[in-house]
Amino acid sequence: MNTEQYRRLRILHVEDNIGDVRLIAEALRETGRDHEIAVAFDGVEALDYLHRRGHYADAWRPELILLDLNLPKKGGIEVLAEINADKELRQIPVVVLTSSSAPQDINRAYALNANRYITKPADLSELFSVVGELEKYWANGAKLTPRLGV
Amino acid sequence: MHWFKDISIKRKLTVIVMATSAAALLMAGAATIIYERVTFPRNLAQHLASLADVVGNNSAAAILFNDETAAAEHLQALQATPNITMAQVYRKDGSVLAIYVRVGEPMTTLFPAETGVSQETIAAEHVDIFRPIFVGAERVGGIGLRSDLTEVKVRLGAYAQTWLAVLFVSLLGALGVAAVLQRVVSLPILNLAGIARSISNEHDYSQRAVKETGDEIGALVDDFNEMLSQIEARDGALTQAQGELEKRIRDLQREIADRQRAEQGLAEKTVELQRSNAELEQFAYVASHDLQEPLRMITGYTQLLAKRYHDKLDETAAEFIGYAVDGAKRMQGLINDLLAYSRVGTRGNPFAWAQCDKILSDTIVSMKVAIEESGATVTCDPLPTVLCDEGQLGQLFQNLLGNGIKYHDSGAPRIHINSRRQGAHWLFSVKDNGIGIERQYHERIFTIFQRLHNKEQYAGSGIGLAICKKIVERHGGKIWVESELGKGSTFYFTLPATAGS
Repeated sequence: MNTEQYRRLRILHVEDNIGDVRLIAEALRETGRDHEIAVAFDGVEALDYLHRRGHYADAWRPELILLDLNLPKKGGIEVLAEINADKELRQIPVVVLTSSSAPQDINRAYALNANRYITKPADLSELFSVVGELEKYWANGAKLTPRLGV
Repeated sequence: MHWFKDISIKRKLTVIVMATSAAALLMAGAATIIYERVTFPRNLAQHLASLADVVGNNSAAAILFNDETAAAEHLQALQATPNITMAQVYRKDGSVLAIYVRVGEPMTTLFPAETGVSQETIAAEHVDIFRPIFVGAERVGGIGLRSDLTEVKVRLGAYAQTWLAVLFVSLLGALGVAAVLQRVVSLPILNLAGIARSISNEHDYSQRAVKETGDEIGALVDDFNEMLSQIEARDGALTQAQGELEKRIRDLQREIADRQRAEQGLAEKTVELQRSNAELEQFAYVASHDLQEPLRMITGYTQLLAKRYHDKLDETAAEFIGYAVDGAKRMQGLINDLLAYSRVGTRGNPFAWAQCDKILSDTIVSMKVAIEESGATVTCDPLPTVLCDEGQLGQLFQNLLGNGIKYHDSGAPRIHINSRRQGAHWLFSVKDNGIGIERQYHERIFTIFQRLHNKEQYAGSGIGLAICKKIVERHGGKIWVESELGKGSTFYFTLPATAGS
């Protein structure tokens, strides 16, 4: 695949665990390409960012949202539901990246038109390969598709 | 007559006696008066006839000599008999020779034309008598008399007065007699009525009426007393039965209350137990879930350390990092097992009827790789339809089949699954030709994290059979093993055959 087809991917990472934020950042760095990453540490902050509220008035629009489910203030499923209800935000692809592998979480996430559901792998190399695949998929402009649903 | 029905027996009897007496007296009086009224005019007529004969004989000479004055004198003698209103002496040809008329009476001809025979006319107001007058055998003339009925009226009036007096006195006497005699009838009846009222008021069926006479009332008293005896006996039996019934009801109520208390206690304990069990499972689930996050950090960053700094670390440091990563991963495995174990209770689905044949064949398909790699042969007899959590039953088969394949040393594994009805349950068996289990471990293998072999021999964390036990118990069944070392194992488990159990 031609590298010129890739672009700087703008990612919003919604994650309350700073260790995970850094691990994902490291995984993205491992791809060898630059990315712009914004981090929201809870659900309310994530929605403020997406709606450009308060000091996020000048925030750029992300091209990919990495969303944890177990978040303070407002859970990931609620955030996903609000994104899904907004016809602008609905266009942004959402990948659920969480430690939960409970079937009801998976089902609810897909019911709210999440593009992918990934359970965080414990093994570092696995994590790096999963994030690498994600980055490759969504950063490839030719393959960028709008989210599912209406 | 309505008033008569409602008056007391005493009065009824008095009225009856009085009415009967009055009726008898009335009949007697009426009979006397009618008799007098009928017989008196006849007697009067006879009397008049003899009077006429006497006066006629005295007047015979006057007729023969056509002496009107003498005849009138003879008739004048009738003044002594005041009820004679008129008298006439006739010649032989029937013409009137002399007439006597009581003062104030109108004069009429009594008997017209001549007659040779005696005549008598009884009218409503008077009696007329005609007698021929004979001298020897020759009729010379006749005499006629008329008498009024004043005497009859006077006599009837006297009769009526006397009779009324007799009636009054008789009725008074009858009243006295009735007042005494009615007691003979009314007293026993009143006595009986008094007893009946007293019983109905006091509900004391031991009272008895006293029999005083041998007549129908006496028989009534006997029957009444007999009836009372029956009622008393029945009342006694009823009271006794009621007492027994009340006692039984009290006993039952006490028993119900006891049982309710016991049930309530049991229900409270059950709820408490369910709550603590649910809390424990929730705790296990949440704890294992939350424990994974820091573990992932340890694994991730230790591995990142090894990856980024492997040039700068010596062999020992790499070895230490290896142990750290290995420990963290093992802990991760244990947590995953705990999670799976707690999910049997917290994440189970509602029971539904499912065919075990289908569940087993699906499980075999999902284990295709493991079966083919080990060269195992899995056979089964027809299996029943049971009420179950289909997913968990599949997991049960998978764990048992997996064990059968895994714990094997030489030759190809052979596993056979069978089921048979045993009372209210289905008894399933999963028989393998594996390494077998020593008798002393038959119970222990179902405990969580209990392993009989080290990891180098057989991989696994010791969670499989614990999960099997939990699944079977959630379905209301039991699981156990029959095995000997080196002779294979047969795992048995039961599932309820009916929806109710």
